[in-house]
Amino acid sequence: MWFYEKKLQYPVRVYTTNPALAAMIIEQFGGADGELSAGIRYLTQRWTMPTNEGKAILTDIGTEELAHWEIIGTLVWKLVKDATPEQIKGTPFEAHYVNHGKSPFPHNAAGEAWKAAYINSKDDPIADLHEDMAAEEKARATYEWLIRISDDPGVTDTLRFLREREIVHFQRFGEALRIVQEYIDSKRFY
Amino acid sequence: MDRDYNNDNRPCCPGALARACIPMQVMKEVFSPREALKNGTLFPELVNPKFTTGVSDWERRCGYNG
Amino acid sequence: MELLLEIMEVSFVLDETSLYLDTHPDDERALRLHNNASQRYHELKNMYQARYGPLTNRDMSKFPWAYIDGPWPWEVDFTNY
Repeated sequence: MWFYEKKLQYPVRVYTTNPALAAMIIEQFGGADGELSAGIRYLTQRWTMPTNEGKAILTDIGTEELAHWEIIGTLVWKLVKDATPEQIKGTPFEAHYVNHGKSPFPHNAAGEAWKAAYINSKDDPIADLHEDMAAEEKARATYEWLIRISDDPGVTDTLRFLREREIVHFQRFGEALRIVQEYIDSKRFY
Repeated sequence: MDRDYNNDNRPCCPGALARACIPMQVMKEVFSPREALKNGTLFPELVNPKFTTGVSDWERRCGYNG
Repeated sequence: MELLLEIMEVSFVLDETSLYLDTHPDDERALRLHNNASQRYHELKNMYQARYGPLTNRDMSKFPWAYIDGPWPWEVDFTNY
């Protein structure tokens, strides 16, 4: 089961008010390669992942992704919390604002709502782990594009942290893949 | 299961067709807690600030370095 | 604030050691590192909670129930640190 600890994983600093940037950051809050997709994907795959190592890594990385989802929501909220309607009008955040006000909401930068079709769980550990490795690379690439367009040094710093986490996660899923491959080879199922 | 973390004994790598293979990390030195949080990892060997996006011709011609 | 940052740093070490140990359960050195960090984490957590209230709703609180007190994590201003 899940507990909540009242702290962020990373000290998030936001120095500016910037609804346009918030509308882009939200890509990682509700987009296909974002943190919500990652968390739900890994946690969903747990039930049919063989090996204790596999179940543990899906649990722990899935949980960490929800902590990252919290960080992204915090970035979005800090970027808009002091924004006046005048600052919001004419930015991509305006469409979000008329539906959700300043509340973060899981849709992507283009405004499409999060959908379960972004993830899969195939009851095939090789397919699942490869999807997870691909997901980490897609998330890392998305952070690189976001870092390029960010003009708030605090936001950039947080994005760099999240990007490095994707690299570490990729390594761990790669290791889980080896462990699972050995397990399957030793069982010789067809 | 045998776990000596010696990648040479792991069957999935050399010569194995149709499968991906990531080497097992072997923990060596670690960052201090402060450095770890700043770098985004406890392990210096996993730090990689180099972007892989944007290596298309366009970006090289326009001199963008990530 | 300093105390909270220290807890965040040690917690992060534990996040990393947990993931490493999940795929390397037989790495003794890593396990020792993890256990030492865990001890430090609990020490810092007790110090923090004595002053500022529980970090989880499983921890004890003075009267009235301090778990609900702000600032909540997204409200903390880290820009001066």
